[in-house]
Amino acid sequence: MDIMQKLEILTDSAKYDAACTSSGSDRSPVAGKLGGTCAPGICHSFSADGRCISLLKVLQSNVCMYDCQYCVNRRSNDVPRASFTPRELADLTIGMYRRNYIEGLFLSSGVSGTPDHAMEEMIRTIRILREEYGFRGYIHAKAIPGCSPEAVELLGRLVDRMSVNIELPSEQGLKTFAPAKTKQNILAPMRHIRDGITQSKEELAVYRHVPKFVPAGQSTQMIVGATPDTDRQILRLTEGLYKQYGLKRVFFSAYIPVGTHALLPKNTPPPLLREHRLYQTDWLLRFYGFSVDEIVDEEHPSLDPFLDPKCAWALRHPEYFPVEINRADKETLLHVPGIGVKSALRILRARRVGALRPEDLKKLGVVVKRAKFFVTCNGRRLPDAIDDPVIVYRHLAELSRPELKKAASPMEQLTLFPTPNLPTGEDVMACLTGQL
Amino acid sequence: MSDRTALMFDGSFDGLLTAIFEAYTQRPMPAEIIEPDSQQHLGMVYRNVRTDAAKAARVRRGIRTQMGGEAYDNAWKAFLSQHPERGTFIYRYVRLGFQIKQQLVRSLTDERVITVNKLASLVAREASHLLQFVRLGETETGVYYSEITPTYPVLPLIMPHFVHRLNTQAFVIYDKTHKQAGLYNGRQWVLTDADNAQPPAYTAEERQYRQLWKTFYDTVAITERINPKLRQQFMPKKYWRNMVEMTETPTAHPALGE
Ligand code: SF4
Repeated sequence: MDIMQKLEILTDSAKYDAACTSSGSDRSPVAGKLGGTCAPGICHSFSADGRCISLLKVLQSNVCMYDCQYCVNRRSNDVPRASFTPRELADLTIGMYRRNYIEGLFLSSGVSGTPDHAMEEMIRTIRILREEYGFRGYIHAKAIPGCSPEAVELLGRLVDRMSVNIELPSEQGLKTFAPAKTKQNILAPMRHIRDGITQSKEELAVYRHVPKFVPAGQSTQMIVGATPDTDRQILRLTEGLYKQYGLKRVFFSAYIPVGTHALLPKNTPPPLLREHRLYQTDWLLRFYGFSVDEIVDEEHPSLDPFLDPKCAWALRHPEYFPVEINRADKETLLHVPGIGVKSALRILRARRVGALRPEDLKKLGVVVKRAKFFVTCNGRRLPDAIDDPVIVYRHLAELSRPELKKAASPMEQLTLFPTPNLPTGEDVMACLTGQL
Repeated sequence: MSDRTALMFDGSFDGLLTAIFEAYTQRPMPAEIIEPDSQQHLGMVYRNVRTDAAKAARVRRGIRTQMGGEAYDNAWKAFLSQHPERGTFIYRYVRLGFQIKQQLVRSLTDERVITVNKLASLVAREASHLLQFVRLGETETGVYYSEITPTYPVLPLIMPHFVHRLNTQAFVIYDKTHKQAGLYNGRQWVLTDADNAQPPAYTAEERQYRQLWKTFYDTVAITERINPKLRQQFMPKKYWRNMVEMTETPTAHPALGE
């Protein structure tokens, strides 16, 4: 089989993984060595689905002993199989890197033989890259569930980021669809990576030249919509992973119906809107100082499809508003719809020079259409700020789902998201007061 | 208002900095600083400024020490926007800066600051797009080659990034729009004017890599999620003409039986 065919098969097998970021590592150049990384990461292309391509995302091998029902590579699935030799894959990575196609490699593998055997092949590839080519670009590798701690240790010293995919957000889901995997053999390597990172930081404080262990941190991925888990379950798990496992990122991947198991959804479009809302919430957790309990609770276990989670939160918490632009601290500003991280920093900066007036907000990049309901400038409300929560809700819903405005014409529906009818005033009130 | 004066610089950044230096020697200070192609206004008296590296260096140092490196950066990037009124915009920005010093970069509601920041961010955005979308190809001489067609002449902003990356690997990036080339021989890089860079012959391996990349690009997209609008939002169409994956014709897909 030639390299082109292998590349095609092993890309097709890897493409469902959502992670493709090259962030979190900042390696300055070293004379005579190829490559480097930059902290915010670089997307080198965008595929026809609009997802970022930052790394060469392939499997070492799509041969797999396991039979996870939600996965295209499951043993019982009839797909062409292939494996890269470590040399082939290392050369391919270098060739693409030199052409500025990629930031580096995102390497995973099916369980070809034992978990440790799959890990060994990956390690051999990465060794060629790091040791033979002196490659300093980005490498993200997945640890195979069930592999030995030694393999994790070895791999962790060679890569920037490591991930172990949780895949299904509940133990019940794993039992049904991936009986060969257990919560334990997923969490064990995650813990191992976490402890390795902590230890490595301590080592570095003492000896400067030991190789860093997983310097860009670890991440994981969950499939959304294959199992009946609620947004709240998914988000609480996410928060726990950030807090207890020190994860850098949790990725969500809308389930694409690739499985045939009776309990898996079939012929349904991937829940892209839901995935989008989860990412928005994840953003609020990581950068805006929100906690999951503020956003979803027992009464509202699902994210509002009509509103982004910050707007939804704001409407349920009138006691928090209005926020005074000239005095509020950073965290308070970040809770205001229409104020993002950048515009919050600009507000903090600009008000050191002089008091801000309502007409200044636009210049600072605040989305006034949203923010106007929630702020004051030196005690003054903004022009056409309304208090009626029903009207505000409809207003914000139209802003976050522009297609709702034209719901009259069925042809205008956005192809991406199915368009439910805009809720009535009563629905809104019920939703805000928690009766829905 | 027939006694209003303006200075004219030669179109180089050093020229503009020299003109700013000269402006401070005049009473009253000139209203505008323009360059040969700019629109001239009736009733304005224009005076040419001869570029002087020493004077430019003094203004450069003044901006950096009194207003900070960020202010200097913004001025330099705004200059690269080639806006016909860039001279006057940067002049007003720097004048404000000499009055309010470090407060300059915080004065985000002042029109003079907003104008310069806007131009600077257009240029910065183009530069970061190019870090993403530049594609290099291996030529017979061993030098990697890339052609770009940016709106702004951002080569001076992007060359250091590629030099660091590729380290000992020699390469050329040719800016066809502005007829400028960034040359790197594996040790040092220079910027030169180049009227007509002939793309050198590519290696056979290069042709294979283009195909491999195209195959990867097409395969990695998830059919159920196809979303051309989203793609175009992140990857503006104007870059496509120089990108392998958007110009190569796909090969047959024997492996997956498509
Ligand atoms: S072990 Fe991994 S590759 Fe194998 S079937 Fe399960 S999810 Fe797919």
